[in-house]
Amino acid sequence: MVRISGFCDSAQKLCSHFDSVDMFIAGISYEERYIRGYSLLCENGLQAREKILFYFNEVLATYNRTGDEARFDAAFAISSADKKLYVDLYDEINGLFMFRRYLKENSDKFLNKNIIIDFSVMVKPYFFLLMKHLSSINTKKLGFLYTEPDTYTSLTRGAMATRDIPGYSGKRALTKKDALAILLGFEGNRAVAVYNEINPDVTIPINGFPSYKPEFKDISIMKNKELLMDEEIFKNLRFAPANDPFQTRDALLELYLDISGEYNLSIAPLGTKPMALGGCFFAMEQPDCRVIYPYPQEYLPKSSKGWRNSWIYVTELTESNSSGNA
Amino acid sequence: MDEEKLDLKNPFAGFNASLMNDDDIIRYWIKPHILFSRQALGVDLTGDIPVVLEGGRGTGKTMLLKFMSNEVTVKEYVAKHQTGHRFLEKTPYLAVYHRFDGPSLGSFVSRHTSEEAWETIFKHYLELVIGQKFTMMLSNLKRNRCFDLDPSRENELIIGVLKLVDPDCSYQVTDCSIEFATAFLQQRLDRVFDFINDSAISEGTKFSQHIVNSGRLIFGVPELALKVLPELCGKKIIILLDEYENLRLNQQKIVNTLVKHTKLPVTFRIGTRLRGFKTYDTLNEGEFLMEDADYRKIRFEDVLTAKKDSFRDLLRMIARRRLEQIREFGRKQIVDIEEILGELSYEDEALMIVFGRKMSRREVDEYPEEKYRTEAKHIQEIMDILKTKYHSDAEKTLSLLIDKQKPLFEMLNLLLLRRDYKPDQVERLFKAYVGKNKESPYYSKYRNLYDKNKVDLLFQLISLNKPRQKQYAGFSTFCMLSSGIIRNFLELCYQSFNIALFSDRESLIEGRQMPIQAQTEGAKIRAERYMDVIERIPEYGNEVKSLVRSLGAIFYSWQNDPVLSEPEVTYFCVDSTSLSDKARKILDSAAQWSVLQPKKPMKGKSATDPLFDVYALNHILAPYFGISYRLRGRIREFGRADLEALMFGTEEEKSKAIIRLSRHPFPGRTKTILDFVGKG
Amino acid sequence: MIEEELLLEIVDRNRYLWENRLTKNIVQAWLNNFSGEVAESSDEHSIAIDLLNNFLYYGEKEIKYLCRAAFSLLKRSQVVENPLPYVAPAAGNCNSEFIKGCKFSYIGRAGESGALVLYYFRQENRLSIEQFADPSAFLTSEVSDTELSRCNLVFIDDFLGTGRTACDFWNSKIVAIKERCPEAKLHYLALLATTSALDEVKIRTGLAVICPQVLDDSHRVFSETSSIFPERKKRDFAKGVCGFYGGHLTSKPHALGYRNSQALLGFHHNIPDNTLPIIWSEAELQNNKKWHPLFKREQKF
Repeated sequence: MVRISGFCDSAQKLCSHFDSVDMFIAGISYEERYIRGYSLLCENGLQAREKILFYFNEVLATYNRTGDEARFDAAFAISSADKKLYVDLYDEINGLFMFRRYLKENSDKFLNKNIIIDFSVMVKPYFFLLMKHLSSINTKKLGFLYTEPDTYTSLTRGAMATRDIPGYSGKRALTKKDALAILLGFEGNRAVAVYNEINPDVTIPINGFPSYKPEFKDISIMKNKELLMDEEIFKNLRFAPANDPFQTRDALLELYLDISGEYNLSIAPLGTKPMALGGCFFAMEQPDCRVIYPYPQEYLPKSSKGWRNSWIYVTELTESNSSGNA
Repeated sequence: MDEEKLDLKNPFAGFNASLMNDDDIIRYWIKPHILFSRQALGVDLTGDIPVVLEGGRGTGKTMLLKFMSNEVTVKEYVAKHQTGHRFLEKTPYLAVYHRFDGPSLGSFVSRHTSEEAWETIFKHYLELVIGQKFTMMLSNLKRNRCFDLDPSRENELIIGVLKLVDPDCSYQVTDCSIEFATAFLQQRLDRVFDFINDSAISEGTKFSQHIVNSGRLIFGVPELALKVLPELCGKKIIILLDEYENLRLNQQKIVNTLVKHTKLPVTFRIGTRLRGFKTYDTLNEGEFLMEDADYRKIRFEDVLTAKKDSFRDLLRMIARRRLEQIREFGRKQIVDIEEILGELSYEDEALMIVFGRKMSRREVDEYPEEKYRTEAKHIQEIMDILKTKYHSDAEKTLSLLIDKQKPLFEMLNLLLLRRDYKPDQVERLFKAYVGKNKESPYYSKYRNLYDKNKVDLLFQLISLNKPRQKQYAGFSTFCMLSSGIIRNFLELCYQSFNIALFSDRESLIEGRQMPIQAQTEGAKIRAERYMDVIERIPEYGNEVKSLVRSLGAIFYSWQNDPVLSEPEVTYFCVDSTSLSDKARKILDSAAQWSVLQPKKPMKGKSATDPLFDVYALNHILAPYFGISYRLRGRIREFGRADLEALMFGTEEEKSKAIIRLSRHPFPGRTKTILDFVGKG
Repeated sequence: MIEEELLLEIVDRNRYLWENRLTKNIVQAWLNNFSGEVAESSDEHSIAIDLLNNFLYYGEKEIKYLCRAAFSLLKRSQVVENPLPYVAPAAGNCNSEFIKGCKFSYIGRAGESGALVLYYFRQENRLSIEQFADPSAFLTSEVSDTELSRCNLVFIDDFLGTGRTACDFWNSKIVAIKERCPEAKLHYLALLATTSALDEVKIRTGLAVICPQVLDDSHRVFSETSSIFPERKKRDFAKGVCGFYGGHLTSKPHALGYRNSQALLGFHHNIPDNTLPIIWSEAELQNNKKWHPLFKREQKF
């Protein structure tokens, strides 16, 4: 059973936590913040010995322009030491299989090394699976970098299917009822879609609060009116900081301890990515919980503008013999 | 009263059946007697033959299935009799409920495990799940003392279940309860979940557990139970499977096979959305489920709305239960939703449109005639026709054709003039009707014309008096907007109460009628939310939304037809066999999500024409488009080209199709229709 | 008359964000305050509606959560400052020792909102009542010198708007505590704070305030970076309207909130006077009329 601990700090203090970076992992995107993580490393004098970059095919094909790939290469200062993985954004299983293969073939590059992952522009299923694969190796130190956007634009379009994130189907006990914890985002329709698919006995919405900007806490509530229309659901509203995966994990753990005797718990990570990462931590520590996600028809290429604060989540994974409960 | 201090809860918050625990279901659920009436349905809901219950979300399907489950029936019995003793004597059946969870079922697939292997694993999983449901049922009966279960019988049951799972193993079990069997099955299920999780992310994972063959537990446990517990003799054992539509194709074949080859006393009740069957095939080649032979079907919406009064009564009773739960309402017996919502007749609404507010009869009488003639737009329209077409003494003729107490009659007279009836003809018809001259043939003719067209006439009156809008208020209107879906009604009430509690709390607390404005706003909000949801229909959400918006525009145009060639057009027909595969799937998707509601197929004009499929737009959307919520007239059949253009054509193709299918109103209004498609 | 669309928006906000504190009558009465003395009443109403739609309200649940969040930040500040090899149990131990050694108190006077927030803070973080004291206790024998030198004194406030209260408190109480016991370790927690207030406190007292929710200048209604009125012309007009009416409700320096705070927020337990007075004032006006507030403020008598 894995146990995850760590803390959140401003990315300006990277140097206090990492004296070197052996591996840097990130993805490409047309969101302006995609390169912030790498820039921060450079600003802090932490040149990664190797970079693994997810070159999402759909991103490269967005505008169908020659020179786009070269632009990303230049931004990340790609060299022969680095690895570009050409993967499909909508097929995280295959994408992460490629990563896993690389990991297996080059395990010495990961074992007991400092690894930093900038997940700011990765879609959630991707970093959920990335975490699963990384948990199978002993890293020295793991850091997740995240840069807040300044504003959000349209995030996704259409709906494909609501599915379990692969590897996170949990274990359902039929003797128990079903509870659904939804990390609220700005797309209320997707929350409703998950809710309608699961039809849980109890729903616990978790709002990102404190939020990146103070008004965001209200925006996410109003965007989720449809879900919160139900008095019981609204009464169950809880909070977790929008920028802190560890506190989100703690909030979920607190919920789990309250209800796991009577309920199977599913999580829908629709909130911010740090909250989703917290959901990932939680699901890895409590493997009987399931993670369910409303896959969209399309992730829109420029779903944010600008950037604000950056955070480093210094993370440690340990094996625990106990159930992992607090 | 200090209104700030009084915290009135909305009685209609919380309307999802699945959210309700067993106590809530007993508290809130009104048994729709019609569904348990064999005479009404031609189907015995508690009989031997499997039954498929088809219905959209919110129709009450899940409530009904859960209500039949052993958890609720035992609880209800114990609540009434304070004991479970003799429960088995009274009940003809025992049922276990299971809901197919779509996302879970989607996990029975991975690239490194073959389809065949997954099929086997799913069969095994289904056996364990249903088997466990049976052991839980036995625990429930035991716990509630529905039978006496001495240790030896209990042991026999436990060992029997274990051997059904693994016949090659020998088990010795002492001092255990039936819960041990449940836990044992759960352990086996956990191994299935482990495999699902591991195979998703690792290559080469193999499922190594002993497989339970199909039917061993599903039919074996009831057989065992009957053997060990003679108290169960004569009882049907019903397996209630909800949300069948979530199963993948191969998974449906597995369930179909069980249904086809069901072994009495076990039978099935399957809850599914419309068009939820991906296949009727079983696992055996050439074999499939046949309606009537293998199962009977009930369509929820049709059954509930077959008798108008039954549905209305059902809604009133459901609403009553909810209102009673709120202290302020219960205490003052403000619990009749029909009284709270009231009724708004078309005639009263017409007066409101013309005069801008509610007017008493006396106020209308005292309204200056001259002013009325110059201000009322529909009167001006009549005058225009009289002056331009008949050059007669228009003023004198006009006075024979109007009655300011009855604007809808005036609109009908306008309609007849537009249809080239001469003024004196119109006068004769009108006079016969208002004079109540039932002997005259003109009386019934006028009455029939009025009944057929009054709703559209009201819409036309509104159109003439913009920006006034159609009101969607009154209990009858809410019943019709619900389209046979209980949840729609609850949500309409929820939204209306939300607004009324904020803006006119006093009316509600004092038992007065809820303001019409609050009801109309509530109906509009519900319709808008419904439109939002359409976009999120998996796979074809965008196409369904495109179709719905186009239909709204088309139906709106027919409403504004000056001669009302067809009144209240809210549905269309199509020869589905001529459609492409994609178009059929989109229609199926729309039907499954109750956005379009299939009606009885229609015969073509000639004997050789195929049957046309008929689809009505869900009436809940009427307030969004400002159209009628009844089914009256119809338009020509939609051809393949037009329908597919509306679904997934380019903007240009779509516009052309809309224009072709619309009924063009007065010149200059075409743009409005196309703009309308961009609404929302 | 409130327009239909606006009414629906208010109904929703009232339910989901404002704890059902408003009714149609309250909103209507408040809008009627803007009687066209600066410009057309419809233009004044438009400004009022913008303010209404941007009002930041922290309900009881949110206040309680901010208490937990502030406490987490306090605990974390110890971990980050003293980052042991972060084997979880060790970090936990460090935290437990630290928490046991904390004494909590409030900023301001008894009976003010700080004291109420302290109650929430204790409840939410499940702390023993023994760890809570009146600020004056640290100046008397109620807390011994030894205890004072060993413990971490944590002062809690709900909102740091200008920093004035905190600095005044520093001068009146904290300096005395420091004089009594120079080794005393001090921490200041605020549930919400503006960036300018944080800077003010840092400059004047050296204290780094721990705060889970910081409001930058964009939340000052009429600042150049205002997120509520980003466009200058409208912003100036809005300021004129609010300043005019606000000037009739309170003294001129505070016409746009205490010491020109220009805040637009409120809490379950009170509306701070940093918020525009047009939101909370019930002042009698010159024409014998009364100003109808949107959200009432509990006055200090």
